Amino acid sequence: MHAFQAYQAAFTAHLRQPSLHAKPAGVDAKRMRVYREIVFNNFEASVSACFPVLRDILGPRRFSKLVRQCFFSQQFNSPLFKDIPGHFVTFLRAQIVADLPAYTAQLAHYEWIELLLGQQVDSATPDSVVEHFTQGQALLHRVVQLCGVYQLLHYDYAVHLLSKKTEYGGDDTHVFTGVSYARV
Amino acid sequence: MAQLTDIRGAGLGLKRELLPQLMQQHGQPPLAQLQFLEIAPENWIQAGGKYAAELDWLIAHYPIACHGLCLSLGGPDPLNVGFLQQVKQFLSDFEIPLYTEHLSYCSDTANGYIYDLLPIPFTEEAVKYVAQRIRQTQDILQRRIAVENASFYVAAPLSEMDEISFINAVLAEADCDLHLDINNVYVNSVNFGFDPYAFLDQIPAQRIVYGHMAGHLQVEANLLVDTHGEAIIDPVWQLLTYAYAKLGVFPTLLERDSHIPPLPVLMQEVDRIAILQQQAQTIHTPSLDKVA
Repeated sequence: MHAFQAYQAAFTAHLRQPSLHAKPAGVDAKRMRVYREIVFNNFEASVSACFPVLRDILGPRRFSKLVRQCFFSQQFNSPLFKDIPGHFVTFLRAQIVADLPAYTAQLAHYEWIELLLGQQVDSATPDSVVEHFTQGQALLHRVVQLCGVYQLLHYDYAVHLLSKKTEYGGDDTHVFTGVSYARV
Repeated sequence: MAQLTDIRGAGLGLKRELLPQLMQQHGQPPLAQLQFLEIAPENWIQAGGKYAAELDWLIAHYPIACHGLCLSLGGPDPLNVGFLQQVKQFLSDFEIPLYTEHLSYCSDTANGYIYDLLPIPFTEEAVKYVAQRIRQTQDILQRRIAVENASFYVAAPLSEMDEISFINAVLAEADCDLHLDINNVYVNSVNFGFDPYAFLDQIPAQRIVYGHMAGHLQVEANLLVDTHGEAIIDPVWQLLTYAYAKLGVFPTLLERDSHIPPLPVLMQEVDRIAILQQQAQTIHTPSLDKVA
């Protein structure tokens, strides 16, 4: 390893986990703080944007602590910014933290999948009339076409009902997420 | 197909939130001086759905330059060749004539990407290392790239040379082009107490592909943070005027990443870039004027 690379390693180790890794020797402490704040705030903003419900339930401080843990313990192998929330989901799935609600990882996954599918919605699908059917037999008289982008998922918790007000939405839910409309 | 020569005049770094206004106001007088746009490939590669449609619209209406964020030319891990192949395909698919990156790093070996631009220590070893990675990038992409002078806040104690010497050594060793950020020159000149005009005097003009202008945040008298969230201040405009006079006019675009005002307000700064370019050209091409 070159000398400049040893310095770089100390630099980023400090940015990721300042509580454990001291700043590189000889650098200005006040200036280093600028990097600490910018780098983590940018990362946290990229994560937070995807998980408004989870952040709301946990509160900003607990959420931020999780983001920090993710920042220093996770592997980030994608240069694409849109993949950052996916790294956070992977991180949460590997966590066994006593003071977190049991549904944390599943709620995060649900919020992430919504965003992911939103980015993939097939724009080639022509505009169509959207109708809501309340009776199953109506489907006998219609041609139903599903959106080209969807996932059928099973969660152990009713993640789609969770919010700060209804922290616990009930057990076991199947979620058909995507744009689940019927087209005539 | 867009050519390198289509990247000219004054432009704007495209933020996605500006797209609706851009689509609506395209072709109208307030946007008359807008000649090219810049996007980050990291935000548009693998774009599906409406993003893909937006990209098609952009390509159809403006010459586009790609300005990368995460190649990590100064990073310790091997260059991400898979990502570079994606960039190559992206540039080819959308016929984008120019790709530039930062003279910085944004990754480590312990955790991978850190998603921000960090300063490379200015050492001889780093020059050789970064230059080799630029050459490798150019080989994979089968085209020249340009690297941008980055803003920074911490001086590495092990640096062996000043910033302009480092930049020039890398450019020469890699034989690549320069993406000149005027605001970064100013920000660093305040943060590290050097003369920004003397810095510009040492820039190899023939390597410049285009320039950046932006606003910054003054945190303390001697500490500026490159936020791209404020209006451009007069000393930076003066530096651009000097750069055009000294180095010749180069395509230049405005970067604005936060506190983004409505597009017509942003265009006032784009217009001012265009005016400075026209003035510099008038002063510097009297013989051409006579011929015409």
